[in-house]
Amino acid sequence: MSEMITHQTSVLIGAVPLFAVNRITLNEGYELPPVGDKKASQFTGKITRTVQVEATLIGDERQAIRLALEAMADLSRTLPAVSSIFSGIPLVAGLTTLLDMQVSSLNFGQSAEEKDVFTVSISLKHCPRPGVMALVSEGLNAATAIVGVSGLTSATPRRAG
Amino acid sequence: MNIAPTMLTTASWPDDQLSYVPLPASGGDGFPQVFLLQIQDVVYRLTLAVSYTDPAYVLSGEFTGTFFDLPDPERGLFLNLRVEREELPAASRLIGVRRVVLDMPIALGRLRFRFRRIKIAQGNLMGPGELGSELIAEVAVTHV
Repeated sequence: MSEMITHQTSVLIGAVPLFAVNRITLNEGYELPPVGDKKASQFTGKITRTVQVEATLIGDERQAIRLALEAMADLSRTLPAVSSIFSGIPLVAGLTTLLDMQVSSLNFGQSAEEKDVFTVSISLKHCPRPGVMALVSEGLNAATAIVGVSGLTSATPRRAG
Repeated sequence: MNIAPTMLTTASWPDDQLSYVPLPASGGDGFPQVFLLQIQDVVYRLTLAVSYTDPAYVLSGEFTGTFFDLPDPERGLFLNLRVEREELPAASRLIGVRRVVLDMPIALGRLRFRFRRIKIAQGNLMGPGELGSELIAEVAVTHV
C-alpha cells in the first residue's frame, strides 16, 4: 500500500500551500518612457510582473485549499484598502519570491477522468508600492535567486557533538 | 557592628545535568538556514531565521561589514528557531517555534537548546558566506 506524502510545499500563495505545482511562469515587462516624451518622468516602477501558476489540488483537503485560495484572492484585493504598507499577499516559490501580489483570476477544473483531483490556474500580478516595500520585494526576489527559499543546505542529516 | 556573612548559593538550571553537545550550525551558512539533525535515531528539521523590523539592516550599504549581536531588541533583530520531526506529516511534524535568547535552556519537545553567542555579519542576514559570523549553540535530549 502506498501513501501519498503531501508535506513538501512547492509554492505558497499567501498562507495557502500548493503541494503539486505543474508549471509556474514569471512574465516581466520592462517599459521605458518613449523617446521625445515629456521631460518630466514620474519615478515609478518600470517593471511589470505577472505570475501564472498551474497546479493540482490533491488529497482530502482539496476543497479546503480551494476555499482558502478564494479567501487569499479576496484578501489580496482588500489589503491595499486597509493597509498603508502591504498592497498584496506574498508569493513564495522556487522560481521567485515576491511580496505584494494580487490575484487577478482563479480557474478551477475537474474532469471525468480524475474526479478526485482539482486543477487550478492562478494569475497573479505584482503590485508593489514605491518605497521600502518595493525594495524589500526586490531584495527577496534577488535572495531567492541566490540562496533559494529556505532550502536544505544538505539532504544528509547532521549529527550533534 | 558585626554583620553576619550572607551565604550565596548559585541556583542551577533544571537542565544543567544534561549532557549538551555542540549544535552543528554555522553562521557562515547564512539565514534562513535549514538543515536536518539526527539525534538518537530521530531526524529533526531545524530552521534558523533572522526576523528584522527594518530592511535597512539587510539592504543598506550603511551596515556593510557590521556585525549584529542577536538578540538585538533595540534594532528589532531576533533569531527564531523552528524544530520539526522530519518523518511526520504536515499536520503533526511541527514541534515548536521559539525566539532565541542567550544562555537559557530553550525547550522544544525532548530537545533542549542553549545559545552562547550569535554574532551575525550583515551579509549573512540573507545568505551564506564566510564573513566572520559566529553561531555557538548546544543541544541536548531529555528523557521525559
